[in-house]
Amino acid sequence: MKIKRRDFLKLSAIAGATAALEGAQSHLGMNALAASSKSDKKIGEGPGEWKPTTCQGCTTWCPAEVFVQDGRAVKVRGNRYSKQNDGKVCPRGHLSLQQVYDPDRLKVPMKRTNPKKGRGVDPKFVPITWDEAFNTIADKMMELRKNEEPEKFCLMRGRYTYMRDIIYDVLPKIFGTPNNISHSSTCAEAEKFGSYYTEGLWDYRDYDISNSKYILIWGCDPVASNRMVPATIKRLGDALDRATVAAVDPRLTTSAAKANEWLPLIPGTDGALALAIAHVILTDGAWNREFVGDFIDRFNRFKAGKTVNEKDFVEKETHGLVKWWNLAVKDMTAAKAAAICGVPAEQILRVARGLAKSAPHVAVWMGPGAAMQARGAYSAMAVHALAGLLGSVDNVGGSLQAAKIPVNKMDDDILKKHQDDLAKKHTKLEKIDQRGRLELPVLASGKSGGGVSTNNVPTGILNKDPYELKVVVGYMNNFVFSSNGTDRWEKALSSVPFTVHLTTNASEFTMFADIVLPCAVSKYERYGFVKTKANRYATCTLLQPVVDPIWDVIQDESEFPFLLAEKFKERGFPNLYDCLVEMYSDPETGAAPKDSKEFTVFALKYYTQPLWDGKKDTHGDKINGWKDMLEKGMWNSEAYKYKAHWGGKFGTVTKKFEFYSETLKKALTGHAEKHKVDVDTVMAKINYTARGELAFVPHHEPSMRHGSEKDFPLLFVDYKSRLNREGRSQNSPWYYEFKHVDPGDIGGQDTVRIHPADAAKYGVKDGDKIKLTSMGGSGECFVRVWEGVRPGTVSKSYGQGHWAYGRTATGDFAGSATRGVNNNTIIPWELERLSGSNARNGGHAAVRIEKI
Amino acid sequence: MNNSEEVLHRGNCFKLLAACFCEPDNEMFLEEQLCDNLALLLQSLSPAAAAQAEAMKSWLQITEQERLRLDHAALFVGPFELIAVPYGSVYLENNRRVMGDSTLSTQRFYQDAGLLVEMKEPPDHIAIELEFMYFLCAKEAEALSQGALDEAMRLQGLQAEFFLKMMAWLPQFCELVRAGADTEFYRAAAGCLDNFYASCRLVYTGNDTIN
Repeated sequence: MKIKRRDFLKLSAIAGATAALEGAQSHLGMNALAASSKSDKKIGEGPGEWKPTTCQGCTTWCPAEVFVQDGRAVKVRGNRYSKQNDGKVCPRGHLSLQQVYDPDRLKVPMKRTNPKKGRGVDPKFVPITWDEAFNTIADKMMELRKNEEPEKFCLMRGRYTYMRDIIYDVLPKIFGTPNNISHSSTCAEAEKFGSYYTEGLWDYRDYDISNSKYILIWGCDPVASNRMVPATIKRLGDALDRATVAAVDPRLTTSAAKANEWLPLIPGTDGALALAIAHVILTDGAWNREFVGDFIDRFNRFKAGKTVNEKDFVEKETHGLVKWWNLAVKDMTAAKAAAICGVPAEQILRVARGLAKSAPHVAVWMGPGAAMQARGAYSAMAVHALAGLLGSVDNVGGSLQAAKIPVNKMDDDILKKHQDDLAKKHTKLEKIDQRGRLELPVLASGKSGGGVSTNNVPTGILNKDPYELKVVVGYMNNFVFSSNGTDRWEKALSSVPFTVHLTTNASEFTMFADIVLPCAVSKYERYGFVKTKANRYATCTLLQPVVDPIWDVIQDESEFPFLLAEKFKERGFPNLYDCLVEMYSDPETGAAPKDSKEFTVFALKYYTQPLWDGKKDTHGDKINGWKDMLEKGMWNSEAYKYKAHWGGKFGTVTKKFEFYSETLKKALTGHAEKHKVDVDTVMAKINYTARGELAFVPHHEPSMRHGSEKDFPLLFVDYKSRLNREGRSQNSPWYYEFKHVDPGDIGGQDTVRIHPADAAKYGVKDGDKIKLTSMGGSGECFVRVWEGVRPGTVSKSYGQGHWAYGRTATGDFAGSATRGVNNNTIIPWELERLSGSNARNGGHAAVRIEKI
Repeated sequence: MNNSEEVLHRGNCFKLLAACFCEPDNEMFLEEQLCDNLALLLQSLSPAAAAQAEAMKSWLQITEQERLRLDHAALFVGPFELIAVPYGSVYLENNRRVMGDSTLSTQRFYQDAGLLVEMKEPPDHIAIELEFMYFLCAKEAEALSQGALDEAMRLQGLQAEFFLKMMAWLPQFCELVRAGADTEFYRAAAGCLDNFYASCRLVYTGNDTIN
């Protein structure tokens, strides 16, 4: 807090007789307090009101409402208009109250005064003005343009709203850098790979569990995390009365605890299990004929180990079933798979037959555990292929795509108009994550280098390959904590000469920053909009400032680029400012924004205009103008139409659901040709074992392992707590108080769960403090002996182990000590190279435990 | 010294102590004789606090501005864990959060006095609460000087109520500053505030004579 005027330091004398006892107090030389106008609204006496916004605590992105009294957020619920969450939120919704009112939040812009960077090195931050902060940033960035090296600026994006275009696209592209690096491959790009190379959907799926007769949950825990949490909490109980629920996961998840079947497979063997289920369905002749088709003579030729003639089978909505059978399925009997994945053959048979009996009303819910593995791309395809086999794709009770949300897009023509020659040339340079190289195909949406490989950024930075980064701006991110192989990030960020962090709370990433800027807390203090889906409805939901920010903060995605653009303009580079003002003037009046706050509102109006301006049928809720949009806070689509992509409308090369992926064949062949090699060479370079045609079908790949079985005998299973608001809720006391809501966990500790048999084998007992070590690193936590984890594995929730955060999350900031251990330090750095993803599941992280 | 001067005296102590917990400006503090004035004012109210104010002056003269800024940031601003959280609710509600019920109560005191917080900070920031006490004292002194005794009594009662209800966290806060400060200046400032608090407590609980 500043002293606004020197007078405040002077001694006050008794005011003269003329001084009024009421009214302005200017003669008293006040500092923080000022006279207020009379108000009828007495603090503590008002009734309060519910205000709409959006919860971004996980990737569900829930339409929410916050109860506000006297300008203070008091409680949270789901948005009353939501057809997804029906007015309910999960525990994260409530936990966020401790984030917005966290005393450790960043309060003012600060700069580093210690030039040395590294873990455990105090940056010695001191407060600075916004003006000094933006002048410094603008000078550093303009220096790059002056030296004709704008590509050495990199924008790193963590969690975002769809206002991201402004900071993530417009800013870098006008400035002249190709380096806008998103966090997406940290989330679950390998999961999208599974649905894209089968049904042409590079996205997460909706699951119609209100109408499912069998729900197969695979590698996720949808009542605790994933992408439709409150909707699932609401519906899973009813589903258990109507449907069979089975959960595939090495640990007993919250969902598994309620399920009829738990299939605790060995990590990294998902492909084998999925193929075995397919094998049972096919050899039983129980596939869905309406979707898949049949043998011409209706005689089932799928016999274990026997090749089938492609000509004998006529497919309907699918492509390549027989090829898939011949290449990958025919030998994967339940017995064989049982030996690989550790799930009993009889259970595989029972689950496969249960699925077939309930088909097509079956939700095969594929989550990151099945996909985010070093060789997980094909297991993601294999799991999703089961939905194809069962005819549940785009079908009642199955996996669905989503209805369209008609919002405006960034105007590319305006963007290009304001790009100068330097920007046009340098935005085409190779990106720092090296995507698209021979050894890193990143085949998002069918293109070589089409996606992002967030966790390969340290490789590029450390090797200065393709070039050095000189200025980094990160927003709502903490890659040095949230990406496995944390030591690589620490080294890489230590080497960047100038880094800016836009954040609500200083974190590990901030430790390497030169300037840190306080930002508004998502859900409570900012504008934005996101698109989400669940329960057959697509939704556009607004983030709104339901309370005034307590501290002097900005909105990262809109205000940062606008304020920076003003500084660029002062320095003779008006392009960004001109572009922003032209693109985001008030869509109703055409007025140019006066300041960064108004700019933010205009930008939101621009994007969401088609939903509320009444000009076109939105095929969803009727919204009567901007005011109504703000008051409702959200828009629902009509219910998704089943079978919308049947009849040759899938987004694949063949327009069908592909068991033999012509789409992947085209993408892989394109990538190979780009590098003048064959596909087998590509597969060898990216650590996959498949050769020949096997590369184009869902199949089983042996899992990768870092560390010998002798030295690291246990496989590490990472999961997301139902209290994780990503990695940001660990400074909230409630996180520790209520951590026992995760099955097998207890509050107040960072625990690793181990099976009783393993506990006996390794000489540890419940409550012991242990050292957990992998090839990646080590740390301390407590043992919890529990039957709900597969023998040979240990499971641990991501989130704790911060070494630089607030007082609650960090053990001892001065000593750089952690409270527990970060899973991403334990999980060695590894990539799933077809999608560019961080590999964090699938058992490549092998560990040992030692009692301390 | 007459009554009104005595009250204003105390008010000025609150005011100067409020300044001590804002962002430091070594040069300005010395030019405005912040510590000298504080020491002088405190001599009659709390000799122990006055001694600490003298110490503050000595340390201020030999402590570089950059060290003061760093220490102030680490103690009260962050950006990582706050060594001495400067917000009342964290102590009064034992819930490590700002904008608690006690914060709203603090804000209600300000509202009833016709004031609002103009800075982007929770209303129960140490410097704002001290400033509010200065305001009440100054207004009481004005009332006394004008012979408005009822008003003076009301303001005196308000001071006692606010001080005893909303500022009970100060000793705990001072202890954290003393234990966590890197500079002697802030250690002395904490000692000064703590001693002044103790003397005011006697006044407001009626265990001392209000002149």
